[in-house]
Amino acid sequence: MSGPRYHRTREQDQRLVAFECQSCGYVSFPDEKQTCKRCGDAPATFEEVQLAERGEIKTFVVQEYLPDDIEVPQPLAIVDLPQADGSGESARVYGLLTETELDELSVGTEVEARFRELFDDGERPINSFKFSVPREVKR
Amino acid sequence: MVVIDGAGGYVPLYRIDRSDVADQHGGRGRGESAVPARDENHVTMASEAVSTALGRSTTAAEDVAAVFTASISDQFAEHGIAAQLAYRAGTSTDVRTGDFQASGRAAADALATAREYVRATDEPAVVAAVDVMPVESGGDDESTMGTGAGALVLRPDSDTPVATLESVGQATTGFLERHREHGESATAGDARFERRHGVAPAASTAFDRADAGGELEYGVASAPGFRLARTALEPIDAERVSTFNQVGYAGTATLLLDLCHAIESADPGATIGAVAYGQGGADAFVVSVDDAADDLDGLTVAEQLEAKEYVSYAKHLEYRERYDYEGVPNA
Amino acid sequence: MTDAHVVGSGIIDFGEKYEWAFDDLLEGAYLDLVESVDHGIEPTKDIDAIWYGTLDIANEGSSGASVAHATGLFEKPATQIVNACATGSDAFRNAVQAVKAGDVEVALVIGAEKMLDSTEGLIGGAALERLWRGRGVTMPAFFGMRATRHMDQYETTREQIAEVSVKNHENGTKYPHAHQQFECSVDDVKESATVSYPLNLYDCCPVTDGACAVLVTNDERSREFTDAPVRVAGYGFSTDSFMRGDDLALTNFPASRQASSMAYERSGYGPDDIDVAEVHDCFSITELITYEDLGFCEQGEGGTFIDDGVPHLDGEKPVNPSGGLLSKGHPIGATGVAQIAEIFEQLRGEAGDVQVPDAEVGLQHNIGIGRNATGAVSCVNILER
Repeated sequence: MSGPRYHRTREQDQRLVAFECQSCGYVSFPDEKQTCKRCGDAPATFEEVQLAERGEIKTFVVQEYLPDDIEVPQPLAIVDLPQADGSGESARVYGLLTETELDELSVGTEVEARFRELFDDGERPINSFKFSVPREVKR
Repeated sequence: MVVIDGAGGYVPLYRIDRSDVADQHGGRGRGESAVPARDENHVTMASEAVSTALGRSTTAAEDVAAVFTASISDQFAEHGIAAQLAYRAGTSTDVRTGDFQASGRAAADALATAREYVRATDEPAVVAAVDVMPVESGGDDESTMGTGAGALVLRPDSDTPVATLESVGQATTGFLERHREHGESATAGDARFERRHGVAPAASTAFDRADAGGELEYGVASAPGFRLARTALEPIDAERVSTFNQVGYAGTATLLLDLCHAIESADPGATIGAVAYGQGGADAFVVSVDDAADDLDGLTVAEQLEAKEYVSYAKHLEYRERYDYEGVPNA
Repeated sequence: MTDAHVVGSGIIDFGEKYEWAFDDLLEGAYLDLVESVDHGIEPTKDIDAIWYGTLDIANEGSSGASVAHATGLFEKPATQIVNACATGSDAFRNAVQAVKAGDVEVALVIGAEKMLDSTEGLIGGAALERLWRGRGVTMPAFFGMRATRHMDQYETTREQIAEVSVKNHENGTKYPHAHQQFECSVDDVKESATVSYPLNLYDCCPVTDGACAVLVTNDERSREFTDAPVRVAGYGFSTDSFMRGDDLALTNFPASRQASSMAYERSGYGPDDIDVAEVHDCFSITELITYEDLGFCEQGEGGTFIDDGVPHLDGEKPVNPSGGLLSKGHPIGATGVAQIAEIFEQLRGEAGDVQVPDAEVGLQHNIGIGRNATGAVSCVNILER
């Protein structure tokens, strides 16, 4: 992982650390801020929380046309990632899916976070999370 | 004593049927080899194995004192794997790291070093090995070069170890035959010469020094070919546990992946002799399986061998090598 | 405070205008406006300020100076507005606010986009090398996700979604400036190539060059230009994001609800008072959920609403008589301005083959996505004759 852009969010990108607003309970991910996107509290107090590596698909598409460096079909979802300890709210994120096909997907499908190469930044891999249906489903 | 507090193997989803390689270039093809997905690399695959191993252990990531990794196919001359794995796993910043490379023995070097580190410091250590073996279209070893990762968590002791690392023996003979330049497939040299003068003496000396005797039930061998590996196990009369026909030779990962596979599949109390042969010599380990190996979280290696999808010949080439390395474009 | 009135409009035929440079598009719309103002206009004397909408997709180095170069209107304030796909509407809204404030008497609003000079187009944005935001997210994906969820949650059918495109293509054949002049059936839509499941090619608006201009002025000067000015009764603009956690943002656009509430409140009109609407239909599903967001029907009933023929040209509440973006095209900076121009014509009874009888109150709605597809912007303007 390299470059200032990826360095400053590496806890979120590699460890799924998120930030919970102490005013309204909103879970901010990956943005680590002092203002709350939901309640607008400013300055807001946030506490670090750990997200789980399993989440649920809220909605999805399967894309057929993308720039050349992204393999198609490319499913894309909005995923809710709950907190690892089961408390509070989930974070809602964009999830690129890997090793997953249209017929394995519906609203509500459980997916697991997979540490993958998102792109190569010219030469070097930038690793973070994609999602897939659990591997055991493939057996 | 040093125990294996957690073990995890990672085999990617994709496989190339070796007969599909044979169809392209002639010859016969039995079995299959593992192929990484386009979005997998050394760090992501090793990370999968480390997550499984740590998840099965009693060791918290922040208590890990050392992360030692091995790879002989990482495309980067400078970038490192160990520190990236350590960060991803969530270790403390005072963790000791080490990247082992340049010989098929590298995973054994990392494991033996981790064992010494644990004995010296009484702190837990993680060992991981990962490789995506390069292939050339039409090359002799194209169908049997594989990919995967394996990881172990070592501790001085544990209430619920999955296995115990009983002893280690090494034989640094200085023998060299097979060699490989960055980004190219290997020059295997004379296989018979290597078996007789490279593998056999190194493996038997290493097993002798590990005080393995003849009582081991299972044998695990890492060597860049099926027959080389079989030769490496000749000193012990043990049932061979191998992913060679499902994964192929996964470089340094083979030792830890197959050892994990053996630990997962053997009954508690069983003994395993594991040997890794590579440039310069061989190392042997004696491992006994403990009760906690009976009930492990996460997918076993056997389950991952079963959860697979086949890719075309073209994808097998494309997925394995995507980077230009040192200015040499990929095939 | 004075009201603001639309007193003129100008447009060029939308389409693949390879022979027209970006400046030609602007000039074409501007000249059409100058030539069509009922009582005539002396542009350099009459126009006090310009609001100019473009995303500058063609990379023309746009600024207020560009519109001056294209029109000859130098020595005046010229403000470029960039606000995603709602750029044109927001340029209009800003002009209206300045006129209402009394600071500007006559404002030119002009929007243009040269979509076809860049072969990469909008899809290139999906190669973004950023984590968690726009990587791999194309426009059809962003809107398609609403379709997947809407179908799941409200049993909206694929056919109902396709029907939006069928309706708008039919309207487009009757609208002279529309890019795509052909009709299609529900089966055509369902059988066209998958772009981003669940959306197919005919669920998507085409890639189109275009430009449009309108003239806005105050109470005092409006009759100077026309006997039939169209009053701007209300406007609203808002932003929202699905990342804020509201499930409604998975199917709909809360920003559109907020913007339309503002416009309804300012105008004193409600959804039932709207006689004709030009709404953002970059994709078929976008229009279907917009029925709900604008309060034309209940939440989740967008599918039934179109099944019942309500938004058809001969229905109770015609939506997108011009063919919408699906047929007319979506030259981004021009889109919102062209919607205003169509409502202007509708309320003056000049809409030709797509005229909605006795239209007195019209609504214009324009939505955009921004911040690498993590946020939505929405603009709503209400006009009356």
